[in-house]
Amino acid sequence: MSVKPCELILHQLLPPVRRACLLLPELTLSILTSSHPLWHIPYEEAMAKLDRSDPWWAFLWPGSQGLARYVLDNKSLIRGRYVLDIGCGCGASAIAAKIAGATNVTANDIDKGKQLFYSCNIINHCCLFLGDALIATRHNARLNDVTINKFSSDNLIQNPSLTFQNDKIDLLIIGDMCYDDQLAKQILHLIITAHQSHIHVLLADPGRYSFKSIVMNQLKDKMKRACEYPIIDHDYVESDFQTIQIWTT
Amino acid sequence: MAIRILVGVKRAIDYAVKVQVKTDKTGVVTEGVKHSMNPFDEIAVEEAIRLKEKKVAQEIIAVSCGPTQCQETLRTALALGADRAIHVEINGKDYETLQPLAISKLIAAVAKKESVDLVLLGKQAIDDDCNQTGQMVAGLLSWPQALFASKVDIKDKKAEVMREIDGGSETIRVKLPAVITTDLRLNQPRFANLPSIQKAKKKPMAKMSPSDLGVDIKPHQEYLSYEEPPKRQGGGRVSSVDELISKLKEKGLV
Repeated sequence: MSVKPCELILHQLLPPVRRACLLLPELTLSILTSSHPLWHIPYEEAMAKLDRSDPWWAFLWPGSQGLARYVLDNKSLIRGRYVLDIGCGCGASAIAAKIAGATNVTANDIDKGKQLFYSCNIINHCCLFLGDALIATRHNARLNDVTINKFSSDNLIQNPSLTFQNDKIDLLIIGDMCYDDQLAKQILHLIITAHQSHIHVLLADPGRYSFKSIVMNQLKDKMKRACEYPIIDHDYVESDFQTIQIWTT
Repeated sequence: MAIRILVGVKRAIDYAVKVQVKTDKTGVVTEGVKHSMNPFDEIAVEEAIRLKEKKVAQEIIAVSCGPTQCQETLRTALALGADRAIHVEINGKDYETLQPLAISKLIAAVAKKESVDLVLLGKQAIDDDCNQTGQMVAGLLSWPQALFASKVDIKDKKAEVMREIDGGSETIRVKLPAVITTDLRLNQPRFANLPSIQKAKKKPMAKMSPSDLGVDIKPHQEYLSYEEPPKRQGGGRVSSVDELISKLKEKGLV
């Protein structure tokens, strides 16, 4: 049985949602919301329909909601910048950066989805393989009439210094990535390296345990809280989080 | 003041699987067999969530003891509504010979460490049918126990529990902290949907070992043999009522 390409999933199963969330009424995104039937069926059935596991890119996580909001509200910080969105997921923050006037935006996500080698054939001899998250990001960018300049599926957080040496980047944006200890440690290292390379960092987090215990614990003096947004979208109301905080270096 | 609840979730062979005894009779076949959360534990998780929804509980901690795959069971508990999870990792031979007393000591140790007000457990697991853990946890902690609950009301640090007993029910009141085990009729558990599982993957899960908890998990019983129920001896067809009656007479059954 052949696997369903992500494009097919996006077109057939995830119709564009206008006003993707209450915090981001200006964005249209193909994501899962509580108005979608897949939201309401048992996990195994939804997975079978989507034909893949861990579709992080099918959701607009609170951190990304806040990050995209901040980017859209602070266009002066973004205009003319070379932006890298790490763990872009559905691409909301990368798209927001482009709308806010960034000169160049790189969307990065290591999500491989289902390996679809046949979709990566010899079109124009430039066979760029995109994982599901990046396909979703490209799709969502089109829905909002912007073009993401570069897609990267490399695991950049494993070797940040290399990334910052090779690419012209002056703003790093991170939305809701610190959800386990190992990731939080890598993000901590990434922020420190970015700081040393004089790259500005914007990070959004709803107060996840690993963020507080690892990143905040170490970077108390280096980062400051720029802004705080309430989580108003009912789909993402979780008892432990009430707000999304934006941190900057 | 809202209470804190510890819920035990066991990864058991799925209820729909036809269990097979290993050829050497040392146990049952678990490799390549579908596992899921013990159904009585699903009821315990559901009850904890309902208590949280009623603002009776403020935090739900799920605990599971066993191999790495137990984390999937814990994810399900987190997806359903537990706030965080504790995985007590036990592998290989230690896991194969793990017995209810060791599990009880582990759960009691976690309950003390996390200073919870209530331990909610399934009355038994559908794989070994031991029905011992809740009772022993209560004993180890010197807490009151309310077993086979079919209704739970918690007010002012007291639990009023309707229990399933032979031929009816009884209602008892116990002071918290206490141990409650769930029976089938307590509630109808909800299912985990895709967004809740994805959200659960972002919730904290701590890993620890029995020695971190200062618990010795050495088995005290030896399992001698596992036997399958006797195979059904095939039946036969009769063509008429008369033939049936004469056969029954032949066997001296009528």
